[in-house]
Amino acid sequence: MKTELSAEALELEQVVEAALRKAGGFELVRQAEAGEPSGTVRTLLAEIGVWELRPRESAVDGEAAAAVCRAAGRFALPYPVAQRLAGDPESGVDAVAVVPLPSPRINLADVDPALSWFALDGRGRRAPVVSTGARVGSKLGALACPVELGEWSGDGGLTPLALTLPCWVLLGMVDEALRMTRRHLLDRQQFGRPLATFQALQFQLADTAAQLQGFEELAKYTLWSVLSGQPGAATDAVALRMSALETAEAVFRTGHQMFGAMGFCDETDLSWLSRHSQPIRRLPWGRSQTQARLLETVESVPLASLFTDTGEDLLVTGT
Amino acid sequence: MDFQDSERGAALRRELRDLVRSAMPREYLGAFTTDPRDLELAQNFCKLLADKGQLTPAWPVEYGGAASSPWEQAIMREEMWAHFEPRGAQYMGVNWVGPAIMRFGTEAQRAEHLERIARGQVIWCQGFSEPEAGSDLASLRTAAVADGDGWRVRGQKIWTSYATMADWCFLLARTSRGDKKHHGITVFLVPMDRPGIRVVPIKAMVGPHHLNEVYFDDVVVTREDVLGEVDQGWSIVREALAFERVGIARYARCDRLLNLAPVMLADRWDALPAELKQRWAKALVHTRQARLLAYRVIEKQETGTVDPADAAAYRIVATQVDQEVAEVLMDMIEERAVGAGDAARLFERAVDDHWRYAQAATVASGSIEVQRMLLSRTLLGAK
Repeated sequence: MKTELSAEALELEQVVEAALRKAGGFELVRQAEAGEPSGTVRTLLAEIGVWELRPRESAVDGEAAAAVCRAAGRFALPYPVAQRLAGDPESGVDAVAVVPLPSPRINLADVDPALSWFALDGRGRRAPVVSTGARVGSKLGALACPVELGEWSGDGGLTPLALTLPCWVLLGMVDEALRMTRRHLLDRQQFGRPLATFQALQFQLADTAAQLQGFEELAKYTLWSVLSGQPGAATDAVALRMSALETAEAVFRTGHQMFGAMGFCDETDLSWLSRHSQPIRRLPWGRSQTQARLLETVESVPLASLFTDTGEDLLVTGT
Repeated sequence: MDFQDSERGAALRRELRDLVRSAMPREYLGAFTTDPRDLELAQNFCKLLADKGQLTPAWPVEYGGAASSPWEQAIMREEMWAHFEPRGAQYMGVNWVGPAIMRFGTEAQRAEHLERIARGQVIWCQGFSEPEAGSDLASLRTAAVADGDGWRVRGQKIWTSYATMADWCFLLARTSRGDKKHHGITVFLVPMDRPGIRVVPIKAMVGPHHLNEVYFDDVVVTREDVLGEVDQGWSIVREALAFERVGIARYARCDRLLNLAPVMLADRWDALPAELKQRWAKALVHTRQARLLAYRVIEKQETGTVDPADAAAYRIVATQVDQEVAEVLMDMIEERAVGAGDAARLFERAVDDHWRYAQAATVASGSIEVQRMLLSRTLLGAK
């Protein structure tokens, strides 16, 4: 048993995080919303060697890719890092995303027009993206675009990683949001003392942090399952998405509540993280759809656990 | 990363399952019932484990242990709890009373107690909680009043599990009053048949033997009964309780029962409401998360970097998962979806037992509020 990411992966995560901070941090997402091109991010990550990672060929690369996704999430990076790293460039798949049907949308689809995108339906099929529509442009889906798809074919096993890596982006987002919240509780004074001294807030923070830890451990487990090709990997990836959505809801609710009105202002980074977590949480499926799919997958391939095999259970066999 | 049991771990898991299958009847749902044969089964099972040095896997070999790794200890906890704890009431003696005696006991105390605990020959209870001292344990009032060379203990303990069957009590009593309430507490190792000790069972939804009152009426204790130093008991308690970071592997029983549900409900499974089945699937995921949080603590234990906050986060999640699973399974059997065969009836009893016991999950062994305090203290302790 080894439940920690490799030292190499953690080191790369720090390198990426430092580089993104140096390049402007949250300024990058502000610029993207204003319509500025994303060339800087692509080049910066290329220089670090991120696009040379091959998670589908090497578990070491896979752990590094997940760590990069987490670093990207910390700044709500306006670039499809997870989708690119889940791709298979050798077979012409530069970026891949699971999409909702019948109206497929992809977050960040038009930020890098040179990429050859593929869409997945989450049920074993893939189709090339043949054209990208205009950005939805809503406040909560500023960078999401409708896409038109070509002919469907078998997904070639792309789906589990394509579901898993965006959860690592979300993990970076919620981890950063909770860090900001914790800091705010220590800094902000009300009734003559720091918010951190109010037990109601301490307890809510503790519950949220515990939930986040559970999600983080599940993210690592799922990554291991997907990278090592465990029989339940496809089920595990849906299970991770369910946990990611539950956790994001809890963390951002706690964050917004504790920040008060300040948390809605664009001068706080929480506002950007919260807003840009939305497309990841709604696409390709929100909570209900994810739960329905989870049941469907668990009923066909059981969730691997200590007691998945009930064949020899004393209660079943009697002896 | 690798989330599989080691080869040695997997072998241990198989061995334990085989042992449970061969030694325990299908009907066994714990030692704490009105049928004395259940306790007898558990005591026999302990002897089987003791013969392999596995009743006290964490202990050094010189004291009858197996010096096993934290991961192997976790496998033991999981397999035992999942199968309704065939070790019965040995949990306490093995997990922290024994280690505390190893650490703080005199040679005479080690000689008297350790082998008997390792052999599964003795049951311990903990004389901790009092009517006015629950989570705030240091407020305890039971007094040991100096009398000649020793003391006379007067007071009342409550919620004392296994007191009806215990041979010994790990008793906390106040020997003096210091500046702080944590000062002046002493640990006494007291045989339960000493004159002046009276046990009164409390009838409760969790079932027999779990909750008792224990009265101490001028019970004579001597220097030989003291563990460690007089007045220094609080530090022993803190350290002793830290021996078990993870505590009960509640998630393991959740895991087993959730997986059994579709098998036990058989063709009635499909008729369950989709919403209930979705709750079941979610509970499976939450159970997995609780298990992974336990593993996080164990990995840190191995590298010596564990923080009380890690164990607290695990307990916050695991105890609530226990209750979530209990609700889901009760809904399933209360829909009367379960069949009429023997196995189905037993499953229904198992779920009934699980639900009742799960209610105490967020209260026992340090309430969830205490865990929240521990975790938030770490989170907010420094900028």
